[in-house]
Amino acid sequence: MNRQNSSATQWPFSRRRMLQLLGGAAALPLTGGLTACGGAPGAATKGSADAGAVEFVYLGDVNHRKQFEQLFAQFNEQHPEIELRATAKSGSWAEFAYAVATQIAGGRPPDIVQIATEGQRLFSSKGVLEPLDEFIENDRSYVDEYYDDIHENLRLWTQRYGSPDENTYYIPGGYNPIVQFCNTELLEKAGVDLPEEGWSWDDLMSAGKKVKAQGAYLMTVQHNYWHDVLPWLTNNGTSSLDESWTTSLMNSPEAIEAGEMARALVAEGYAPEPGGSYDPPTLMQRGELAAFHDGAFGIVNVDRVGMTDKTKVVFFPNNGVHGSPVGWDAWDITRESPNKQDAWTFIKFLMSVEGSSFFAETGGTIVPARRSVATSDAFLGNAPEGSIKLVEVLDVATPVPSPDRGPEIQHIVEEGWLQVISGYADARTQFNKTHDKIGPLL
Amino acid sequence: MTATTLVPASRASGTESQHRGRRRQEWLGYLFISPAVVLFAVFIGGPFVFAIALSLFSWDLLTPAEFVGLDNFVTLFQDPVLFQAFGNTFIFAFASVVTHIVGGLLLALGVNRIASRVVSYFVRTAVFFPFIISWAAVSLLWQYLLDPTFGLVNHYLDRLGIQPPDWFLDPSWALPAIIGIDFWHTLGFTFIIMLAGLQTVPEHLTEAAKTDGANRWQIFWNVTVPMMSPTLFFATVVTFIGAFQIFDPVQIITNGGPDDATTTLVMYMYEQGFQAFQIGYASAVAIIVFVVIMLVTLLQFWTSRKWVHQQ
Repeated sequence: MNRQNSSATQWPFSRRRMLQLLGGAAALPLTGGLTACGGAPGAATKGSADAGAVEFVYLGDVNHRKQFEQLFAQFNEQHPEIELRATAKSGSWAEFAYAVATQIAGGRPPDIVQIATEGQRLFSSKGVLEPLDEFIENDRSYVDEYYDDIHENLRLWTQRYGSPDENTYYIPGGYNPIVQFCNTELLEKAGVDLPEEGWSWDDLMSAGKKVKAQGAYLMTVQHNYWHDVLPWLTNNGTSSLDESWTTSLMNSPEAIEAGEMARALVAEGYAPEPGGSYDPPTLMQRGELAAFHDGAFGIVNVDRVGMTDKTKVVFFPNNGVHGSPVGWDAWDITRESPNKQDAWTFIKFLMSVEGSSFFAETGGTIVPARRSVATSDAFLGNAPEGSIKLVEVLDVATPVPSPDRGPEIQHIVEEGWLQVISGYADARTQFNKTHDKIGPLL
Repeated sequence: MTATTLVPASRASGTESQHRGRRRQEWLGYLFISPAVVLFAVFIGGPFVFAIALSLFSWDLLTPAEFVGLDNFVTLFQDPVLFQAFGNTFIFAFASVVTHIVGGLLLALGVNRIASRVVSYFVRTAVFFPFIISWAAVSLLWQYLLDPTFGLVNHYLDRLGIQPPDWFLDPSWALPAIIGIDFWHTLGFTFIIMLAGLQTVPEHLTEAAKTDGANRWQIFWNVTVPMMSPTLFFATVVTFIGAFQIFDPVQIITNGGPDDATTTLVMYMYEQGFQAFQIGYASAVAIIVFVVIMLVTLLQFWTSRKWVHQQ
């Protein structure tokens, strides 16, 4: 009955029209995507950017967010007229870079992106960033005061690797090198001397033997690019790529020697088998590990396991040449930002002593850019003895090689290194293969 | 005369009414399926068409896309890593289908014979339980268990006097290890499907076979398997499609290593798209994955005519 009654109802759309509408819905992602991919960078953003609120995107998880919010609150106390919207993106640097690139391609570029070394060249070379030279010139004395207080290398490296042309695209921020966190109690028990400058590779084997006699491991040997591979290479006077990031050095005699040394530690049982999933600070706390290497995060880690008083920080073991890989954050303004002046004001705040101190005081995982802050109690007050090495090592550090296809190169180096340290390939043969694989990506 | 003119008019009116009713029903049908169709169009159909279009471009997300025609596909067929990924994926998918079908069927046969309902429920739950755990948790769990220095599995193998392999470091063991983990994690799904299929086998057929003097093997092979063939077919198709898209455990546990021994097609697609910023190339890999899955599934449907028993 009802059916018959309602059969008289006229439908507003024909079946064909309905299908057309559904087809249109299907095409929405296509047209949206092609708009972004077909246009000039950021072309889709015209008129869509949120003028007024400054969007700051940074790499961080939920834990970092709470700390960053304190920083933003401090900024807003000084500049209540500027609305700041911070977005944390979690994951690796490659994932972070992808997320930001997607946001830009989607037509909603943030105003400021905190970019690590790994992504600095990529973003500046694609024309998505605004040159900062004019802002710097207008605040010359302010910026000079900041540059005077940070390590000269940070500024030079940022300019060298982050600017494909003569313009300045980044202001360098905090950094992270690699040093070694040593369990003084275990080393004393094993009768191992711990030189202020760290062990030489010659000392390493005898130290390993003594520590092994105590039923413990000397250190860890793993295959993370920045954390595990580059420290061995840079402490033997080489790196994965040359200074211009255009030639692989993975088949150099120094790289091969570094791989053999790392393998020897595993083969002798002075380091756990690679590829494991153990937590080095926990092993150290249980007296099963004499040392682990890390960046500023090591300070947080030894504190986490209650080992701050029993830990001493020294340089990573060296073969006559001290070194360390280093990565650092940098701040920039995107070309399509409608709030460039406000964005610059926030960057200036990050450069301030107050901003830099924030990264030191909140148990941050990075060394503050300002030397005056990094060497103050704010950063070193609750850190293990010798944590100043995190600052000093910058004199001899090497930037993490980060060419445009860095993540792929990183993956190849890690795979090759893992084969060597786990004993499935000899260093010479494997690193020649690694070298050959990297070549076409440069 | 009047009557003869009235009858066709009435018929015409009735036909039109029926026609309207059918149209109304038709539209109601469209209305009901429209949410699903819209979701499909926006989240599957649209992106699929977009992926096809993207595979013809070179695009890094940050600079304008450049039309390159079929260049991505030409590069793809000259890419040695892709061939290795293809090989790994096929080995994984084949091993996964065989182990899941055989393992799931045997387990289902065993559980189906358990007389105690309590024990039967317990075993069903225990076997199915790993399937509800996320891949991330499963991967981390097995990473701990198979840790070369501190892992429980190696510890007990050592105590039994067995030299354990380097599960995730030895290129010849890494893929089998991932296959084993996948088997542990997803067997429960196949098992439940098999158990359900087994319970649909008509009892009178097995009883008749018994009466005719058939032994257990003959009953299994000539009655149970044919009657379960639609279930076996469904499980084979679903397991292959799932296995061919394996990503999570290799990404979390081995990251494609050692020496690309566990790099799979979807993982390679992820690397190219999300790490190398080669969106067009990654889309081309995605299209290849789609085509292969479609071809294998069509092949499975074609061969099913020869062995799937239709009731």
